[in-house]
Amino acid sequence: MRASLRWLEQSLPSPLGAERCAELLTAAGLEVEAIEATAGSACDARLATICELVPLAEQGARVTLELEAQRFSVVARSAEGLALGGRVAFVAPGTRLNARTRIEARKVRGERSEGMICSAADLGLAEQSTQALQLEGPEGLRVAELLELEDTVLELSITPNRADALGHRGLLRDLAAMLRLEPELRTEAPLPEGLATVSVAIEARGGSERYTALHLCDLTWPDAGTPWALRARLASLGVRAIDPVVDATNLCMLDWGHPIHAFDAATLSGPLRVRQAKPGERLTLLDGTTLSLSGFELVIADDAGPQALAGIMGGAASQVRSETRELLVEAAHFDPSLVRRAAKHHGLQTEASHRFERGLGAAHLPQLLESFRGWLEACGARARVAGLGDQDLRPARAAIPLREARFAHLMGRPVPMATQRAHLRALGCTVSVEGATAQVTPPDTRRDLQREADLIEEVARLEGIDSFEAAFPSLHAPGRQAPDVAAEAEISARLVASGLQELTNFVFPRDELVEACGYVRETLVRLDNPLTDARTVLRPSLTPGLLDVAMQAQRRQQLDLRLFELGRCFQPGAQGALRQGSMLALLLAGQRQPWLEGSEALDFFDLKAAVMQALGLGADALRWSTDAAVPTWLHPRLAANLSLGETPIGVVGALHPRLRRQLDLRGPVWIAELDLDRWLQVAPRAAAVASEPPRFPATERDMALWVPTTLSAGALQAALEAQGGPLLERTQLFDRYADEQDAQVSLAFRFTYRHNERTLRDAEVEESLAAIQAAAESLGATRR
Amino acid sequence: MSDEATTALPEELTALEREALAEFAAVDREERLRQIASSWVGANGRIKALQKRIPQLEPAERKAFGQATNALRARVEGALAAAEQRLEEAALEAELNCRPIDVTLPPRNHTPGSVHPIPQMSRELLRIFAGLGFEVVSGPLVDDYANNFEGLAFPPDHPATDMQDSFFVSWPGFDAAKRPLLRTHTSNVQVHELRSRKPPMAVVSAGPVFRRDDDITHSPMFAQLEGFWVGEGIHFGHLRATLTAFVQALFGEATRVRLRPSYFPFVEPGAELDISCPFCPPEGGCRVCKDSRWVEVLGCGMIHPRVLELAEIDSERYTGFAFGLGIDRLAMLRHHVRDIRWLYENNPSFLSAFEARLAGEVKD
Repeated sequence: MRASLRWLEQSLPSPLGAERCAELLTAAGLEVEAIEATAGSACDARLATICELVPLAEQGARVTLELEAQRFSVVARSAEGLALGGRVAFVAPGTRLNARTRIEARKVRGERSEGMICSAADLGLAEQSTQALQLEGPEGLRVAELLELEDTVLELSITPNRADALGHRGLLRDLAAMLRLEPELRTEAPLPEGLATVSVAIEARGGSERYTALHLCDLTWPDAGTPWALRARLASLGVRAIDPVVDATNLCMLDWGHPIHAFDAATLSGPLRVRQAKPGERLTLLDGTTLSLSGFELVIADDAGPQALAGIMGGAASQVRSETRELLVEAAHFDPSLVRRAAKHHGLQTEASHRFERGLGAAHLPQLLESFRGWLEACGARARVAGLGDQDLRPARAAIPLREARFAHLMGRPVPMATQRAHLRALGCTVSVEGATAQVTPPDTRRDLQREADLIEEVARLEGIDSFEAAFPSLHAPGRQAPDVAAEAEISARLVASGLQELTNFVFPRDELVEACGYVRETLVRLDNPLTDARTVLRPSLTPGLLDVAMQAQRRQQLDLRLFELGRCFQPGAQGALRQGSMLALLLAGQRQPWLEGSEALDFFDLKAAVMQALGLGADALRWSTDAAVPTWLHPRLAANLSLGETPIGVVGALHPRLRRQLDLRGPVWIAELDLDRWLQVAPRAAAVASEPPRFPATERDMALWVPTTLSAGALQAALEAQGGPLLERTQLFDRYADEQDAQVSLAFRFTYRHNERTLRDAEVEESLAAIQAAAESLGATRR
Repeated sequence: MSDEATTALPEELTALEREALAEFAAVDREERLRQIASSWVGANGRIKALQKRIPQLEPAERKAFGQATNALRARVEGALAAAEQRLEEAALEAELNCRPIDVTLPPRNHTPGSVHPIPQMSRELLRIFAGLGFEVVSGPLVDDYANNFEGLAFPPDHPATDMQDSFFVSWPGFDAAKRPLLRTHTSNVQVHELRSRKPPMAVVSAGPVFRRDDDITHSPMFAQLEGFWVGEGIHFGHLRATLTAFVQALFGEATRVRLRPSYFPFVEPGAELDISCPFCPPEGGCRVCKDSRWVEVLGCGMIHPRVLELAEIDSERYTGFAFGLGIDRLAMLRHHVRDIRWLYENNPSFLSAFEARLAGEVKD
């Protein structure tokens, strides 16, 4: 909403200034986002007299102007309308046309021109014109003053509850209340008594609370159109001047915040009715578009059919034209929700629908029509009032009880009832107080005030919402973090510390990647109204998003990737259930960089380290198994299922080579995806149990074994440890040698023995080693 | 024989001493020193050999010989100690005179990781609120229409829902009557928590939210934080104190707070909270507040009684305040991110700027 400071100040006892005005409005909750001077504010044009006029050969004229005894020779682009002795708006050399343009003597069509004669377009009052603007007034008068070009526009951001603030009167009401004074609002002569009744009917139940129409006859149009000063005001408020009737309806809307509509009465047949559209009915609007109506919309119709889409736009058939001599002017209330649905359905967001869908009042409709008549006259048109129609179906509104003490209860500081009453009255409420309770009836334009809390907000606004003192509430429980939130923070910190980069992808990855990973769109959560056809499902897994990041990165030659993401994934379950749990995915690709010694390709064991780093667990706590199948996007032989105890918590492995080729990724690409919710259910929570610090030295023994490749190191180590006896403290695989041709690998283990109460005896260690060797041999391994 | 021995004695010992001292003075290696020491003062050393001759001497000579041998032994041991010390000092000197290292070479086994500014900011904010007594919870991203709008007292078909144009979703077997959508704000958490527990409660939650917008300042997915406190006697002053403590924890103790009336359907009274701009450079021309000195940070207010009533909480007895803020915006301000889309592009080079470091202030 744009507001004119000049307009607001005209209704206040003394000028406020833009800054103060903006400060007050913002403090009242009507946020001023920008303050800007109109372009014309800086206009130095003045009235000058034409004292010589020589038409130029092709077009235009050389004009000699007189301004305060000085003469200027100026080339006019058009000779039209120029007359000796006439006055024009003249910008002398070295002065400004507006804030952006300074005029200097220059050549126009090869002729020297000392300054500029302004057209309406030059002054921002018309879209296009080359014709010089002819004005009346004393020579030397500033054009900005004559045409009221000097103004400051306040750009307001009005919240959707404040329909009343979408006009200057609404702003003035709050401004005056903030200043504790009465605004001096423009009032019009009341409509004459005993007018003929114009027949109007509200047929749509609940569609409108009130419909009024004013019949005006014998309309005469002014030759000069709407006065320049009003056109200037419309322009500065972002409204294009059209003709006196349209301009008057727009000025009336900017004044009251309530749109009205003028029909050419001669084109109407029969009484106007507010009714629901009939399905398939057609209506051509003022902007030329033809709508096929669905049936839920509200229309204003005559016997011939719909003439306007209620609260949104008028119809072309009944449009006011220059030959119009008779008007029917509508001021109405329409159901906000119906207007909104129709505007959305037909994609027609207009100044009118913007206001109606926020909920306008209905009590002031006759005054609105009176005011329109005043604005019509101000725009230079004349008409005779011939009749008035008014169907008023307004429901009675109950007063809202307001308890004096409730204010302090909600705001923390008491305000006496007398003050509360004064504030509410300043906002136009009717207040009757009985004891500690008031009965409050808000003005009809404030439909947002519905219960006690709303009234308390109004009082708090005028008290100054910034004025309530801080007080700490008393704690009722210590703050704490939900396990998933805490776990995500911890996992992120550990992975970042070990050199991975955290990502945040959209939860709707590109479909292409989701499908490439083997998911079927129909089994996933789908977006009904996606922004783009390329992203239409919610991710069932973090992997598609990570792969996308890797693809984009590799295209930019970023080949070493160590990425992870923590986030929700969406998996439909049985009976329409939806799982939306937290997942963790890691992606490694490219090279590992040992210190200044060249580089090596990252492999499965880098991924394994990262997974263990993430979970903060030792290798033996997790089970890495290749027994069960892995997702189709993983390499069938270079992948594993990860579980803790019997609970599967994720998958790890190389991206399937076919998928890698399809995505044009340089490989190998290592991916892990873990189900954090499952992990949190089974993650060990018991506090660690300490054992006594060892006091006696340990003994280490190494054993190298030839092991068949069918036996995993993990299984072998577990078997060896099982036979190691109570003195075996630790087993460590420290060397692996594999001959590619061979069916066996050499694994060297280091066994650490310790007795907690005495020094070890050789015999004990030898006994354990013998048992270990036997266990190894029973599995087909031989000592090397 | 005994004459010989007696007369030979002084010269022999003097010669031995000279020889020993010369050897100890000349030694330059620890290992060699051990050998020499052993040959003189070891169990089979030359001094021991002298002492073994004592029983064969004339009784009258034994005492003098014994004393002279002991004196020799003491002097040899002195020379040994001196040599040990000399070698020790030389070794230390040699260690100190090592070749200096180039400390600018890269570190071993170090790959810098990076945080993502959004989860980082989100976790930082949650930590602050946990410290203020809030319980941190998480909530559903896909939720029923009712929990996202109606439970928060959004009037049906009201322009307030325009601010939050939604993504609707469906899946096999879903309940279409519930009109599930991607939540448009984190306020849905309020609905879930108010329904599932009894006051008093102070809860905060953060995470992604979704609106059908995509331009330089709007991303279809962005991050919000929502918090609320419900109890007996909770009033607007409590809101002010809590949120002031929060912004001061985030932006510094000197931060001032300004509240302006505003509108959100689920609070009444509703307000916007501005803070004194922490980004203003002394020379003016602030990129954030455009020299207005105030920066809008969050929306807040007293929970609308209707929201409590919809959750079957007695709105006469209990009151509460609620607030919500945009996490992306704070992250963008802190890190000078001009285009919100950069945050969701996940370009590893862009993210490298956010290497792990101790949490800094949001200030410039």
